This record gives sequence, C-alpha cells and structure tokens, in this order.
Amino acid sequence: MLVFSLPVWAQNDSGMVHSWLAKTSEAMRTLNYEGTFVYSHNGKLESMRIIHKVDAYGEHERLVSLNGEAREVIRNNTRITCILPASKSVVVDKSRPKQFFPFSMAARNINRLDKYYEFRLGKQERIAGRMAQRVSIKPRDIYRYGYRLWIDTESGILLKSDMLNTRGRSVEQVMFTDIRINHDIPSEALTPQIVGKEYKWFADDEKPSTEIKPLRTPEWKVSKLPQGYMMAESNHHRLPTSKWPVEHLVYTDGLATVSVYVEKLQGKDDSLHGVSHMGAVHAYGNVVDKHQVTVVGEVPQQAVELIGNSIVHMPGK
Amino acid sequence: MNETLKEQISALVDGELEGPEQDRIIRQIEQDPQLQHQWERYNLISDALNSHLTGNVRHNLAARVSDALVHEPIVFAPQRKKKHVKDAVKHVAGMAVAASVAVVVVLSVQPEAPVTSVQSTQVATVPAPNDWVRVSGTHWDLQSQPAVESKLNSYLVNHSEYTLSTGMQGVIPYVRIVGYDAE
Repeated sequence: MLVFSLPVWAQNDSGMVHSWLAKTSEAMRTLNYEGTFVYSHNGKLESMRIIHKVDAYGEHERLVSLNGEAREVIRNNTRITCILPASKSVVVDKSRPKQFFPFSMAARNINRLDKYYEFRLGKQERIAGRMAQRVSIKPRDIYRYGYRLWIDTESGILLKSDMLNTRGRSVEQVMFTDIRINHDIPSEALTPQIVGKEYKWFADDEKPSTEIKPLRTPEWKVSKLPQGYMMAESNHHRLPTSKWPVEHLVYTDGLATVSVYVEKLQGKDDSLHGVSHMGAVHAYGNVVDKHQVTVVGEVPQQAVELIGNSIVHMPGK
Repeated sequence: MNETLKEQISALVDGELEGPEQDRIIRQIEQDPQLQHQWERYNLISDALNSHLTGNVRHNLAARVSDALVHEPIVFAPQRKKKHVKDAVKHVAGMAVAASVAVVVVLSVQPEAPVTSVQSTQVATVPAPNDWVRVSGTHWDLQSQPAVESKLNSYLVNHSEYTLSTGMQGVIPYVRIVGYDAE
C-alpha cells in the first residue's frame, strides 16, 4: 500500500495535485491490476477489459474489447500486438518505452505547466467501489484539453478519467466499473484469446524499429505553435500505409502531445483533407509543396488547425 | 525478362535484399507490368510453399481483382530474414496489390465454408490489403473513406507511442483502436 506524504512546499492546491499525479503515474506503471472499464466518446459506450502485470521484464498489458468482435491489444516492453478480427489480421510493431507524466517533484516542471493549466484538488468520491481523490487540470487556452482524474486513495491507481474540451464538456471518458489491484496475475491472462491459423500476420520481428534516424535536420518546420508547445522529437518512419518514409515531428506542452506526419503525395487519395476527429483525437490534413501533411493529437481542433496551417517546407541542405 | 532480374525479384520475395538494392528493384517493379506479374508469381509460389494457401487460389484471380481495385502504391516493410517472408507485408503498385488481396481473401475463408460467394464479396469490397488497422465501424468522422481512415489509424497507432501517459491515458490510444462501434 502506498503511503502519500507530501513535501512541505506541496501544501497548496497546485502542488498537491502534482503529487497525486506523480503517485498515479507510478502506481499505473508499477502495480498489477486488472478490471473492466467503460470507454465513452461521442455518445457511444464501449466496455473493455484490461490486465496489467509488472515483472522482471517490465510491464505487460492486455486490452480486450467486450463489445462486438474481440479486438485485442497486447503490449510489453518490446512490442505491441493488435489483433483485429474484422480484417482477420494481426499487426505487430515495436513499442517504445512509455513516457510518463512529467510529474517528478522538480519544481520547475510544475511551474512550467502552471502557465498553461490550472490545477485544482477536488473532493473524494466513490468509484468502482473504492475511495478516489478527484483532481482537475484546466487548460488556460483553447489549444489544449482539460482533465478530470479520480485517483484511488489507497493504491494511486487511476480509476476514472475525463478529457474535457474548452467548454468543460467531456470528450472522452474512461472509468473502471470493477478492478482488482496488487494481486498475482498468471502469464496466461496476458495471452490472446483469439489467434487462428487463418489470420494474416503483418510483422517484421527482426526489424529494430520503424524509426529511421534522420541523417539531417528535418526539412519541415511548424512556424506557428500554440503557446507552450515545443518540439520534442523528429523521426522518420516506415509506416504500413505509406509508400515513402514518413517524416514525423512531435510537439508537446508537457501534457498534450501532437504529431505531424509529412509524406510525399502518392497520387492516390488516402490523405485527409481538413479536419476529422475520433473521440478526443483531432486530425487535420493539408497539402504543402506536393506533400501531404497530417497533424494528429489529443488536442482540440484549433490546435491541429493552427499547426497544420503553419507548416513550412525548407528543402535543401 | 532476363535471369538477373528474375533472381532479384525472387530474392526480394525471400527478404534477401536490403537498402538501396531493394529500393532499386522495387522501383523497377513498380514501372513494369511484366515484372509485377513475375513478382506476383513468386509471391504465390512462396506462400504456397509455406502452406499459406488453400487449394482454391486461381492464378488469374489476381488479374481480375486488379481490374476491380483502384491501383494503390503501397510500401514495403524491409525484410531481414528469409523465414519472415510469410510474415511480411509485401506490396508493390498495382498488380501485386491484387496478389496480396487474393491471399488475404483466401486466408479469410473458414476451412469448411464455401469459397465462392464469400470470396467475391470480400474482393469487391476490400479497398486495400494494407488496411491493417481497419476497424469495422467508423471511428473517425469521415464519410466512408476507408483508405483515409486506415492511414489515420496507422498515424494514430504510431502517435500513441509518443503520447505522455497519465496512467490510464496511456492505454486510451489503444482503446480507440480496440473499441468497437456497435452501430
């Protein structure tokens, strides 16, 4: 059982929220848990099961849909496997180490995020039969989402989370309806239920990564970023639905993340033109200098549009 | 077609080519229907050898499917080892797309079910075999554009590995892929 003791400087709301967030990040990463949760978005409700186990090899996760066909995602330190019955396919790719909520106790991280978000401690409420501490993270502008999180007071496990748009309305919600924490989980619980010989596998087991380290600085740049967003990474990928290597730029404000994918126009129309969204994820597609630019992120529409409309090509070395 | 080219295509199918050599032959295949046909043949042979096919593959299926499909150039996943050939996504513009579709279609059929109607239905409606993250409902709010959706999904899966995780939020990207639209 985790015991939370707050350092002296964290006695104000903001500091306490940060502490809770640090604790939940650690709990989700280091504890065994399994349970059923509901995922709601766009007025739709789906339920899923998750199993999370930690051992000497790291984290192992399995996510199974309980509605309709039994889709599964299994993730561990080295790979992610998506099993999709509708297309009778299994996709395997390399996973990256999870980057966690940057809520280390360093004061500078906290100060930085405070510029763009307002942190509030809420009351305690009962979720999935357990006592949970509510915390809210409110964005200070229209370029990021807010969060409401309910954190199990005993273990720190995140029991419910809400992503809120700038009007405070929920765009996506995840909530455990039942959960078991800190128990032994057998490895069988993490093996997929459904793989038949008739499935087609899309994988390249030996491939070190879909990333190709860039030999040069990126040729693409976002000239107008919402406040607080900075470039975190740039990569090239070989993605299965793209003919050419795709340039990938990652921007973050410390909480929200936005990806920009740039690829040469292929002459077939599988590119997004304009805006689309799925739950809390927005995407924006644009053509710049014979390239298809797609912006994707768990951010409001205004953010992907601003970024997508300000991308510049700087070719040549 | 000369023997060297044939050998190169065969090597490509077996995952023995890499880097610029691989890129070169791929480009050649893309531009030459004869090479595409050869590519398709080698793929079918390779799959048959690896017992990936039921007896029902008709050689010409690929050509007929190709007529029904929009030609879509797709990507190669670089292969490193021979034994992973059957695990690879192998696509080249036009003809070979059809070959892959044919294989997928065949593989999708349950052993005891009749091959005929299922096959033709599948072939007519499958837009592209590289839609590996295609989900059966529409999750993105697009007016039935499965190719766009498929591409967005591949971006989303990739992007998900870069999002910061607030505990459960880390699982959410996959929840979106796994979630099922019951309508």
